Amino acid sequence: MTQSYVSKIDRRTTLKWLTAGLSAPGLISACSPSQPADAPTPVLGDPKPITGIPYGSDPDLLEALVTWERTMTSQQIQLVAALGDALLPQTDDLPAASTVGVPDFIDEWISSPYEQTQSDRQAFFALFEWLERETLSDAGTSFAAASIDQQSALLDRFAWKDRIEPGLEQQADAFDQFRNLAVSAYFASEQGSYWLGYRGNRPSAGDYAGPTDEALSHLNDALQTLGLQMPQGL
Amino acid sequence: MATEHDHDVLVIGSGAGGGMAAYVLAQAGIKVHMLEAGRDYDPVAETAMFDENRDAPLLGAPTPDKEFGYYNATIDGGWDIDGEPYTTGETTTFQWWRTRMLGGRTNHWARNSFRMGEYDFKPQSRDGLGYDWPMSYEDLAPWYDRTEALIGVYGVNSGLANHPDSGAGVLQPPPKARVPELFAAAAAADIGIPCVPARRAILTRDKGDGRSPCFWATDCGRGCNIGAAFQTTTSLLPWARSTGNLTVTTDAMVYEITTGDDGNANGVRYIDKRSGEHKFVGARVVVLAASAGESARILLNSNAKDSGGLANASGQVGRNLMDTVGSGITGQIPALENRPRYNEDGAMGMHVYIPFWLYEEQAAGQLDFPRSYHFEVYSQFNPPGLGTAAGLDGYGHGLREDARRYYGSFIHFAQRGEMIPNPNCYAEIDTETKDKFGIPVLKFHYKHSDHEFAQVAHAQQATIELIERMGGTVTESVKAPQNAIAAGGVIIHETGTARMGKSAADSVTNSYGQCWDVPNLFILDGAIFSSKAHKNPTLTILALAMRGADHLANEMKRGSL
Repeated sequence: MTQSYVSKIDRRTTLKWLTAGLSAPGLISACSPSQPADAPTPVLGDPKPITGIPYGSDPDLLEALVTWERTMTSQQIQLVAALGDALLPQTDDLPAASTVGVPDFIDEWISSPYEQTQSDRQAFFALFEWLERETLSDAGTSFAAASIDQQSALLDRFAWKDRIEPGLEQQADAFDQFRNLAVSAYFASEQGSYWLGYRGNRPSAGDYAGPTDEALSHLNDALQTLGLQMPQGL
Repeated sequence: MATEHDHDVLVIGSGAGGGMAAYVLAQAGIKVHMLEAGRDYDPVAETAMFDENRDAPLLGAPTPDKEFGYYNATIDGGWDIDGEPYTTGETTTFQWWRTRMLGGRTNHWARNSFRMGEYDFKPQSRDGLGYDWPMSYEDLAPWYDRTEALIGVYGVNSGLANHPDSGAGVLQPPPKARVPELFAAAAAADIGIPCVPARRAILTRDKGDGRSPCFWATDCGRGCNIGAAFQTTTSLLPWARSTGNLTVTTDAMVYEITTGDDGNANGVRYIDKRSGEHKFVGARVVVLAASAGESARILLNSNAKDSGGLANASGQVGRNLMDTVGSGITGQIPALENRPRYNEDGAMGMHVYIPFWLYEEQAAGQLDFPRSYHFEVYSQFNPPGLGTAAGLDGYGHGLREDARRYYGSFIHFAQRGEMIPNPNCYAEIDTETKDKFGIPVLKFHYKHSDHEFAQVAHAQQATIELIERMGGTVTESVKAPQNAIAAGGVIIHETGTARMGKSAADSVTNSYGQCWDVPNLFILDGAIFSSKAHKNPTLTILALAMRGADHLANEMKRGSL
């Protein structure tokens, strides 16, 4: 990573007026700082506290709004961009994770005032700190500025489910959930969705077209291999 | 107590039962007033049809605010509603899905619409367990036809045992099967298991009633602003209102049905949620259709001087609580990897399903469980979002290729089975707990029996056989049936809490939903089920409500009510 990550413009607008005027006692009491009191000073800086509110049981579905602000530090964002791009790097015909806004989504996720996402927040921040400290001590640089080889040397210690270095189980669990979220956000993007092959969400008149000839031909080959007959009347 | 009112019938609830009852009565020229606990809701104006997961907070993920995801058509509802708790017995896990919106749960349901069959109405006569309905399939068949023709159901007549055909011209053509559905059907046929077009309340033809046929896009669970996927808010309710005979009050939390000196119902008390005021509205006849749980709660909270509650001389109100037996197994099918892409949205839910196929073996004593189940088959190129990363490992270029390879290669078989009512499953009033309105809440007790566990075990074996015949592997280790079975309430088919029967001694209503003890009180929701067949209940609720309301209209015209 040589270029620093710049947040993407998003159709979903954080309601700053809402969070600014909000006291909402009790709603966010569970959102304690990410580090225990006796923890060392975080090398990635102190993230902002959670100040948003849940969007509630009757949000406006046509004007979807995120009712909380993102809270990660700029150093955390840079690390997330690098980690996301290690997961989903750029290719000749595909953007990297950071190009389609994955870091913003991770920030949105861990900044939201829900129990599950707060649990992810704790786990992710611990992973990010660990990655940063390890790269600083091994390579003398931040994770975001490290080379692909340097990043890989670290990730290979816990990124594969059957090859987790003993003692790094927490990092492996946090990475697995990070991977879930980053990959989901990537393929939910317009470019990711198309590359994956989703061709729906397009209305059409008349009867449902059903499988293409190409899709049926592929199915027919698969059925023949297994000694099955193409069903009729469906 | 004021008794003046310009309506004849009060209907409590606006979902499948209340919506159909109001429609039938309004069509018959009877003045109806409906009370709905939730807010007014208009799917035409409020449904986010084409918005992508990426347009929603957290990719539309389920949160405590919206437990089926951001865009799901459940408003002010879910497993938990702020300030409206329910409790459970010490050893019970039970979950209760509620909504607080006009149209109730019809706004988001799966639209799966299977008729109960001749066996399903006489379960006790067949195997000695449970309780017979006070009607036969033949009694309800014409009402199924009328209901299906009215709401619009796709499917075909497959001529299978205990899976009745519809009348000529009633069903609409089903959509073509998708590739994984054809694959599942091929494997099933090879094993000797039927796999036939599903039946769902989704229009595939224009009926000229103001709704449009499906345009093969958008998740029915969000609601449908073109009216293709049936929900009362785009059909029965506007149709009933157009007669001029239906008025609706929303945000009206009903807590009591009042009775006069003659024991007949004469109105209801509710809390106006906007003002907090307690209000009374009178009526000649009351139709209760607030959902199996909520209707039992209202009955048990009524008639306070008799601690047994209203219409409960039999002691059966709240008893016989049932939910569909549910379990599921997912397979990953290598032969489906990297298959050619095309639009698989279709009608979004299933196009084919597997009906129960072992009635003869069961009758011959070859099965170790009573009653039946079906499989709902789910596999398609889903809209990408959370879950698209399932099963991935590592990172880098290979990860992305894996994601593309696996996409559309998973198939889920959801077992949906019949549960036999037992004395351990019931709802009662929790005398210790009140909701934010001060209304005593329900306490649920629930315990499956070995019948259900044996059925799940059988379904698991059948699923594994299907997946293996497709050359696939089960994605997770298969749990013991006791752990694999969905907890009570989770399938959201709760029924039976005011069952119909032949006798006032052991049932709450007759076959029209008319209460034995209170003849001008009709219950027309899932509460009146005498048994809970494996068929999804909504179509039967609609048909029973149509039949019961028609009977009620006739009785009123004859002057006997």
